Amino acid sequence: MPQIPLRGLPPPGVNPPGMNPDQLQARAASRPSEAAKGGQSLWDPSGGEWRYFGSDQFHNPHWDYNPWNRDPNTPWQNIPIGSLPVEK
Amino acid sequence: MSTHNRFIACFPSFYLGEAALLLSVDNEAIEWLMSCFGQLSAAPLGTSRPRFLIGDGNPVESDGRCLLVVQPDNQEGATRLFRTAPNEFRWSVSQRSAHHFQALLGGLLKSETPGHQYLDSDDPLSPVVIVSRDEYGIDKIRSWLQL
Repeated sequence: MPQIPLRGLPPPGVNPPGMNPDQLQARAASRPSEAAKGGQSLWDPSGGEWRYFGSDQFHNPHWDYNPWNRDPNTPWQNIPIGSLPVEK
Repeated sequence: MSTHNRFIACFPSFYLGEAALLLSVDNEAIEWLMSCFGQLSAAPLGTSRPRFLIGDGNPVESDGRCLLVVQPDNQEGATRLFRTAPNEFRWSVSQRSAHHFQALLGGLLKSETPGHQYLDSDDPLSPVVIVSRDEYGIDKIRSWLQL
């Protein structure tokens, strides 16, 4: 039986663009509201946080990415997966 | 202040299948929000602290479908957002959250790329407010309201 991915993690075989999957770590999401719901993120070696959002009424599957490269108030970005736009 | 790029809408399943209020802004609206949250965070408890409205008019439109009343939490308890009428929500915001929201919006203002911030309430049942700049077109948001 296929496993249901944890909240925020991608299905098997889906990885952030340009990332070596061996260098990604699944850990608790940074936002306390997400962590409290069991939400997880993929963390890259540079400290960037990647969260997978599946398809819904409004979006194609995409990444919610935060590079955390400035300070704790760095904003999040929508990153498309493949050739599909983020918005439907 | 033009409202051309500013819009708020509530969607019952916008964020990981959960309800969210999507607030599309430009830099001028971010500065306005920062000022409003700054006033909420700076005024001493027990004094008259201003509330403000997001939606249906200057500076943020909502086509009569979503009005968010932001008010100080005078008990200094948990920040929470709840529906008070079919198209109206009340956001009771603690001073701590107001300060945090102001800082998050500052990060969005400084950023040179399209992006968004999550303004989370302390109450896990409250819908999140997603403040987004240059990601969702107003026409697209309006079309989603017709779904």
